[in-house]
Amino acid sequence: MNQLLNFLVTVSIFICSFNLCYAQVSPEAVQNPAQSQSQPLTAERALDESIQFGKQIKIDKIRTAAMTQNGRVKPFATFSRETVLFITGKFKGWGLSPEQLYLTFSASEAAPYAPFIEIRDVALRKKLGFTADKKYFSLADLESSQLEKLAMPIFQKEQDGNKLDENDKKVTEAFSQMNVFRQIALKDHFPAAIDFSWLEKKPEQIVSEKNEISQTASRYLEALKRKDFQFAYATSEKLNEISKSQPTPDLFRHALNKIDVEVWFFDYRPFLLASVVSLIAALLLLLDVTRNKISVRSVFWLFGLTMAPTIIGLVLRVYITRFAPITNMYGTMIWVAFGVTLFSLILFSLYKNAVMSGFMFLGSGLILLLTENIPLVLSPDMDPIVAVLRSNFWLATHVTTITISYAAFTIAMILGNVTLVKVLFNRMESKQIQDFYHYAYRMVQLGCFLLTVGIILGGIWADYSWGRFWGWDPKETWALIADLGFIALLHARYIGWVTPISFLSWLPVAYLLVVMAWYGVNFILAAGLHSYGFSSGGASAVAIFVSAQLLLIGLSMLRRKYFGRVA
Amino acid sequence: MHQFIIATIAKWNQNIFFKYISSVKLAVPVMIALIIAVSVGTVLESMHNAEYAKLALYNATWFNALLLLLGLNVFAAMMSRYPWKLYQTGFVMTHIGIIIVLIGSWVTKIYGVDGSLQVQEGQSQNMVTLPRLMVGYQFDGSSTLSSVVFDKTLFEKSENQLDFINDKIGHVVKVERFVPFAEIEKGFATSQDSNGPVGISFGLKSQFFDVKEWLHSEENPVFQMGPATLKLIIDDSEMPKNPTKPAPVNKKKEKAKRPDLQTRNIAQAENTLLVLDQKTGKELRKLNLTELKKGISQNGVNIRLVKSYSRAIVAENKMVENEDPAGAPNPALELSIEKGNEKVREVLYGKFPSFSLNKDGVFGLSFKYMAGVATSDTVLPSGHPKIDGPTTPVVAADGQSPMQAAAASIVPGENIIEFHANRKDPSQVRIVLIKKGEKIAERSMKEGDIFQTPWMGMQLFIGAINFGSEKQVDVRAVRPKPGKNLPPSAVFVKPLGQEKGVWLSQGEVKNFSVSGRNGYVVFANESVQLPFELKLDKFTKKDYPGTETPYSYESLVTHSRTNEQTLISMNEPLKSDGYTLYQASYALNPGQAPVSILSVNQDPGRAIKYLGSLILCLGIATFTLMRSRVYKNRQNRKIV
Repeated sequence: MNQLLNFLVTVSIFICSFNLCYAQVSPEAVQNPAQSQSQPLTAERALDESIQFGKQIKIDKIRTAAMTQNGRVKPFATFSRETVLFITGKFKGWGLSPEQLYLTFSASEAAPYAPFIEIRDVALRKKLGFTADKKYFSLADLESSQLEKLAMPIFQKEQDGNKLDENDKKVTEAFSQMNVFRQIALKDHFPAAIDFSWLEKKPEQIVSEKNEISQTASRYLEALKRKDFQFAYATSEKLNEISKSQPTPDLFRHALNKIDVEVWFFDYRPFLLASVVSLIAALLLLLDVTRNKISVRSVFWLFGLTMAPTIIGLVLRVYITRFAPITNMYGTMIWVAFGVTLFSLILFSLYKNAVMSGFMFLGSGLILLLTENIPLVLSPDMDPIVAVLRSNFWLATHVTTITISYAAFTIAMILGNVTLVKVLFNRMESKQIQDFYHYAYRMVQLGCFLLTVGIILGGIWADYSWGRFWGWDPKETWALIADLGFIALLHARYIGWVTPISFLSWLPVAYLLVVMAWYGVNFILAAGLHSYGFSSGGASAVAIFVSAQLLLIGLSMLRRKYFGRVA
Repeated sequence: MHQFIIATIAKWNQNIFFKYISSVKLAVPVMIALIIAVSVGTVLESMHNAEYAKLALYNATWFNALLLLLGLNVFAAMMSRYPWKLYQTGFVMTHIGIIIVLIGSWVTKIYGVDGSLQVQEGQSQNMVTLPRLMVGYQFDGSSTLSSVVFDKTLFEKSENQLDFINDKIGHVVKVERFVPFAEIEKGFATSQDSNGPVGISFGLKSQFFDVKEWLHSEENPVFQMGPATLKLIIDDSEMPKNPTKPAPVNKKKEKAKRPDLQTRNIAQAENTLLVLDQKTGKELRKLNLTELKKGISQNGVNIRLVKSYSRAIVAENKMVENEDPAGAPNPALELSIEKGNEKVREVLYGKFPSFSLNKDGVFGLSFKYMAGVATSDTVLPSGHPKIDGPTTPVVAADGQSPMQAAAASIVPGENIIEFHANRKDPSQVRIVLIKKGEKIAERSMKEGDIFQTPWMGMQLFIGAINFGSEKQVDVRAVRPKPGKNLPPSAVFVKPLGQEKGVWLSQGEVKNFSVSGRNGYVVFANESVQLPFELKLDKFTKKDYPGTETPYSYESLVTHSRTNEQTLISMNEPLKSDGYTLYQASYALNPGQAPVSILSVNQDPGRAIKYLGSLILCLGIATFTLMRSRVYKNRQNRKIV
């Protein structure tokens, strides 16, 4: 029965997570023919033509060309991935690679009539006069809609110094998507990014001067437009070459040699590999059949296999960006997943508990899988960091310490949740409660130690660069709140206010404070000095997590109240 | 001694009160109360700003009492377990650490200095602005400013709550009301005294603008509107001298007025140029200034930025940048638009998006300049601390009328509109239009008259002519709105012997006279003068190439006493005379010398906090390690 339960938990989470992946690449909604009749092409034909066009583009030379965007040099592969993601909401689709999609947007004459632009907000689709179930729209659709009229007053509002609300941001985002697509289609976007020689020139030198690189870029797009794919391929090789030999600012020069590494990194996605290995390890350790056949030594191997790709990925990110890999939300999620595996490795070497390790593999695997699959919320970009963060010493000490403490709390939270589920089904054995209680207690201790050290290091950094140790800034305050929450729990344990099982049940509650400190300050409060990570999105995912968590806690409490205490 | 402590502790441990204070049963609720309180604080900060959260919570007495209770609890808990056993090492260290950190923070709060110093490139500065407020007065000829410093509060204070101020300065200037957040309206009203100052209200209207303004013989007799100068001239020469004529400004007063620089803005970052299709009005391109500088091509037309202005004025037939930082913000762009061999000049104004030199478009394109019109809002680049203290500008710097900007777009050249008033004929004013020293039109106007000027269809309208016009300031207490800047504070003061009081808003200076002695009264942020001056030789901001995201900024400063040049940058402060100066932020305005904002800090509690932190961290480490299996096994072995 115990085994069956473990299996059920695992499988149901697997199904959920695959649904999540699947949703990202699901084919777009069916076209509405009435919409497209006014166009010279029907949307279906335009899409067909665009796809046919895209399939003929050979990209192996162009994808490693050097581009600039958002203050760094990146390969065309990354540039197109990020641009295509912004417009379509996914990295690739319609059977085309991101590079092919980007070049299709730019050079295919049918592309402006093909539905490629994703309007993410359902309410906005209705407001624009579209049906709610249609997700993708063509540039022509949007240009003839009210989108621009809706967006203009909002830009004005922003300029007048007002904060934009969520709905405003959805409109401006859709407008920007349309605008970027338009710039790509006007063939301005690509030459402007591949030609960065002007950065090294004085203003009077750059006035409407046509240079070799932008001319070659335009020739390349023109050749594609003529469907002269042979010539285009030859041009792409030359373009690649001169993109890397143009005058380059000092700050960018190191990146020119790392382009191939970056392309490799995004092609092989080591973190996704780590997540798959981790989930397989979880399955092996949570099913009695397989677990009984696995020796302690093999479990260590599983740990090694999971950690190796993560470490490689982290090292590559550090190599490419030259900064500790925790400069955005994506980086911290990966780092926490790594921490969960690392700390559970320590727990395993101390206590040799394979079931516990299985749950930890499940946890870190899910975190990695989630992180890799919501790029619009957790952007894997390596864009540069703001001035105040440009200190590797503090970044590598303060931020890593704080976030690795979240890993220890995550382990405690997972142990707590497993307990809650088992209590709900009355399948918790007292031996296991005692074991979990002890592991969780040690992890909370470790977490509190690391978090306190991290907060203090942050204070010293703040003192050193801003001139004050503590200023009740929301990010630092919430880190303190999370710390205090767990410390309060430790004290309550000391005076016997919590029994082992209620200690375990409280862990997920206290973990919500970590969620707030980690995610909520940047995404919900969006205030304070730690303003570099601010973003939005993912609110619904977090809301689902929080409500599922609260529901589980509630059900488990009811279970214990009405059907007697276990253990 | 040791025995004595043991005995005392033992006695205390019998005491119910001490038992409670030292118990963990108190610690848990106190921690939960702290969690709830500060989480509310972060929400307040998100709704308003850091200053508001400080006023509402972190500076509140009850909150500090809660912290004190925590400190007492930790201390008592530690003492009640005396004499300590070896296994309690971690416990004692963590708790001592917390107490030391709390003491250190308290020392910082009481004795520390945390302010900001703003200095413009090429200038010297030694005045540090602090978060607290100050009311003071000074007589002309006296060298001392009598002042009282007080904490800003969230609530209004009436006369009897202000005794602590009036005890000190009330014999000269009495403070009757303090309003933490005030909305200030200014206007002019007719007074009984027909020999008083003259006020004329008028309107200017054309297809581009529609503004209503006042000229006032004392408050603003001359009004610079870009290229046009509006002047109020009183023709009867034997006009009685007004006794309340502004006193000559002395040097000290200039100092007090310095907060001027706080009217800072970074306009450039948000400004965009929209390129539109002339026929359909459809937006073709949206460009920021960096893209524009690079020069772009649209529909075969090359668009090139000639110059961008933040305070454009037209002088001698040319558009130039107003170098006076107090000048009215008037963002403008000058573009050169080229197609083939044809070249057209276009001028665009941020405040008048529909204005164009070429009303029928240029080569099928039209343009709109969307400029974040300069306001007094403090815009700080992200990732940097807000400077505690004043974010409100000196109110006197009120050149922000849209009319001034409007005028810049009327006609180039030296244009003067003279308003001649004459007490002998109070019913009308004589309007004289002068262009390049030549009178081009003249006309007498009564209230309600409209004058169609020969300038681009501009109409002049006379609203009111008052002989005997008084400036009126209306101050209302308001509640700060979420998402908006906090309104400035204001005080209502009444100089003794003077019948009427005056409102002063944060940063304002006003003249007064008490029994024949003239002086001024000031309400501003507390400030201290550093024992040295810093001259800003050069401010440098470096961006990530191709973006406007800074990756470093630094100030090259010269110390007035040592004459040494130092570079202050992010993470590289300057230390002198016990003060530490950090590069906190900056303000850049096109056409103006950059302003560097340094945060100035003196923290006697620093060493204490660091010591406490160290002990705390070592304590938790010890605690964790001494509970580990490895350690316990070794202990057990020893005992065996």
